[in-house]
Amino acid sequence: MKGRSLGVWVIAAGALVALAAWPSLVSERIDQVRAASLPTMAPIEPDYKIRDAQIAFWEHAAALKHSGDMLSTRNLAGQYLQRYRERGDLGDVLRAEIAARRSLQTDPINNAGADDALSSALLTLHRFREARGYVRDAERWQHGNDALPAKEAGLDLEIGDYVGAKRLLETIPPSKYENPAVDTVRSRQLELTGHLREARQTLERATVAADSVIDGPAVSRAWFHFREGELAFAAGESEAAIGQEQLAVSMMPTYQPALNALARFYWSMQRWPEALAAARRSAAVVPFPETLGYEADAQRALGDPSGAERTVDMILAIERIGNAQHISDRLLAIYFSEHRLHTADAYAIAKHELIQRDDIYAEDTLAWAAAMDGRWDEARAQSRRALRFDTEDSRLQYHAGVIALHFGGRAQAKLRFQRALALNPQFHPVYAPDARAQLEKL
Amino acid sequence: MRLKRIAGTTLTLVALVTAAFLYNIHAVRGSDHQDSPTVVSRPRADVTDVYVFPSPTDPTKVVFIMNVDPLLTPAAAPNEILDPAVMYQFKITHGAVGTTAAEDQVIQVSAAGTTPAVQQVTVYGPAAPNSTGTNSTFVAASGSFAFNQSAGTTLGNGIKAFVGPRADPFFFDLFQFFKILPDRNFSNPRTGNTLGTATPTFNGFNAGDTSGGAAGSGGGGYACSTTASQNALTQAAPPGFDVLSIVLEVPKSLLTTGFSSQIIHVWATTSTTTGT
Repeated sequence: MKGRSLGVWVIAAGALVALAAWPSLVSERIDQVRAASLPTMAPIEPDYKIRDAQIAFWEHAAALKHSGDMLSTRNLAGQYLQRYRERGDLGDVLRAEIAARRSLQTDPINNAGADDALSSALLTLHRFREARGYVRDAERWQHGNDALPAKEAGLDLEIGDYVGAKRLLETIPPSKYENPAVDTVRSRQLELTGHLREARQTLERATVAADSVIDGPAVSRAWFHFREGELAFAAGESEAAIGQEQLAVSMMPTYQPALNALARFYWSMQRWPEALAAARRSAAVVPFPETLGYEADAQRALGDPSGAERTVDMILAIERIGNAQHISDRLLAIYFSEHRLHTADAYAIAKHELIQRDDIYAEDTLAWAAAMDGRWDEARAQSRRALRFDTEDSRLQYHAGVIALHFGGRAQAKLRFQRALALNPQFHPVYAPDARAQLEKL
Repeated sequence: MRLKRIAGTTLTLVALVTAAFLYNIHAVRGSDHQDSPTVVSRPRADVTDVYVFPSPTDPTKVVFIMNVDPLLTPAAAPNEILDPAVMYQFKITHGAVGTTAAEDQVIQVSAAGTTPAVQQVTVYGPAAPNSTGTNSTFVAASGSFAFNQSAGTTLGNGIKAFVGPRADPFFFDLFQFFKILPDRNFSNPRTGNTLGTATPTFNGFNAGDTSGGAAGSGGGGYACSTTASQNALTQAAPPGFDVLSIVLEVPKSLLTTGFSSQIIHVWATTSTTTGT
C-alpha cells in the first residue's frame, strides 16, 4: 500500500514537472518552427570593395557623352550614392545630384531611376520638399512600385507630415509578400507615433527579407541591423542592441552608423573604454559632432581631460568649417545643449533646423535647446508638440519631465521620468541617473 | 541529391520566347534588361535573354542559353555567381506552332556555394514538371559541375553544361529608341519638376542626322544608329558589359523521346521561395 502510494506521488510529481516544463517546450518548439520557416540568410558580398572601380567605369561611360545616354549618368548617380552610404563623403551626394540631373536633362520623361536617385541625393542633403517632388515624378512613371509611395511617406515623416505619411502608407495595398522598402517606412512611422513594439516587429520582418537576398549591397544589409539595434536600445534591450550593431559591423567593418550607435550605447551605459574605442572607429570614418561628443565624454571619464578638450575643439571646428549643407545642425544643437555650451547658438541652430525639418525630433531638440538657454515657455510648447504621439523615446520623455518640473508640474514630471526609465533604465549616462534622483525627491 | 524545396512564385518570366524546331529556329520576341523594380533589386534573377538553337558543333544536340544579371561591369563580373536561393528554369512545351499549352518538360538549374571558386551548379531534368505554372519543385537531378569552367562539363545524361560570366551579346540602340518614343521625346522638355505641356508626338526619323541634338532642343530628326548604343553600352569602357550565362547543350533524344511533336517551344523563368 505504501509502495503504491509512493508510485502515485512519483507519477503526480512527474506530471507537475511536465506541466511546468510544457510552456517552455512549446515555446522552444514554436521558435524552432519559426526559425525553420524563415528564409536562409544569404551570404554577404563585399561589394563596397569594388565601388571605386564601378564608379570609374560609369564615369568613363558618362564622359563619352553619347547622344541620348541617360543610362550612364543615372547609374553613376546610383554608384555615388552608394559610396556615400559606405564612406560618408558628402561630396559624393553632390556628385550624385549633378549626375542625376544630367540624366534627367537627357531623358526628362519616364526616367524614374534618375528621379529616384535625385530624390535620394536631395533627401541626404536635407532638401526634403524638393526630394518629395522628384519621388512623385518617379511614381508617375512607375505605377505599382510600392517602394516609391513608401519613400514619399518617409519624406513626409522627415518634415513632420505624419498625417500625409499615414495616408500614403495606407494607399499601398497589402501585398502577398512583404516589401522591405515599405516595411522600413512603416516601422519608422510606428516608432515615431508611439508603437515601438509593432515598429520592431515590422522592421524585423523587413530585415529577414533583406537578409534572404544575396544581391543586397553589404551596406544595405548592415543598415537593417543598425536600425534593429537602435529600436532594441529604445526598448531597453541594451545587450540585444549591441549585438545587432556588432552584426552590422561584421557585415561591413567601416559602417559608421553602427559604430556610432555602439559608441552611443556604451556611452549611455557608462562603459567608457568600449565607448571610446567605438567612437574613435566611427569618427575615423566620419567625424560627426555626435560621435566626437561621445569620444570627449569617454576621454573625460577615463581621466584624459586634455584629450577631451582637443576633441571638443574638433567639434567646434566642424561647426565652423565641416558642417557642409548643414546636415549636422541637429547633432550640434544636441551636443551644445547637453553640455550647456554655446546655448544661444544651440537654440538658434535648433530653431533653424525646425524650418527645414519639422519632425518630432526637431521639436524636441528645440525644446531642450530653449530650456538650456532659459526660454522655458518655448521649451514647454515645443516639448508638448514633440510628445503629441507619446513617442516611446526615453530622452524625449526625460526632457518633458524636466520642463514640467520647472513649471511645478510634479505629477507630470514624475510620470515622464518613470516612463523614461521604464523604456530604458540606461538611456543616458547623466539623464538616467538624474531621472532616478528626481523621482526619489518626488 | 533531389532538392525538396518549393520554389515559389515565378520572379522573372521569359526574356524571350523561342519556338524552335529541332533543326531550325523561329520567332524571337525581345529582350529585357532591368525590366521591373523587383528584378532590379534582384539582378541575378533578372532574365535578360533566352536563346535556343541547333548546336553548331554537334548536330545531335540543341543549345539552351539563359542569360541573367544584366549590365555587369568589368569590376563586378569576376565576383558574380548564381543566386543560391533562385531556381533557374527552362520550360518546354511540345506541339504545333502557335500552341499555348503549359510546359510538358523542364530543365532546372540551382547553385550552391557563395564564391565563384567554390560554387557548384546542379542541373535537374529534362523531365516532366512536378506541377505546371508559377509554383515549381525540383525534378530529378542529372548532375553537378563547377562554376565557370570554360571547357564545360558533360553530365551523365549527355548534357554538356557551362555557367559563368560572358559578354552580353545583346545590343540595341536604346538611346535612339528613347528619342522616338512618343512619351519620352524631347519636344516636351521639363524644368525641374515641371513637365512640358506639349502633346507628346512621334518625332520620326531623319536619315543622316546622327547627332541626336541637345536635350530640349525641340526634337525631331533622329536617325537610328545601330552603332550608338553598341558604343555606349558595350564599348564605353572596354570590354563592356557581361551577363551570367547558363549554357546547356542538350541531346535531341532527351527532348523528343515520348513526345508526338518534334517542335519545342521554350521559355525561361526564375523562381524563389518567397517570390521577392
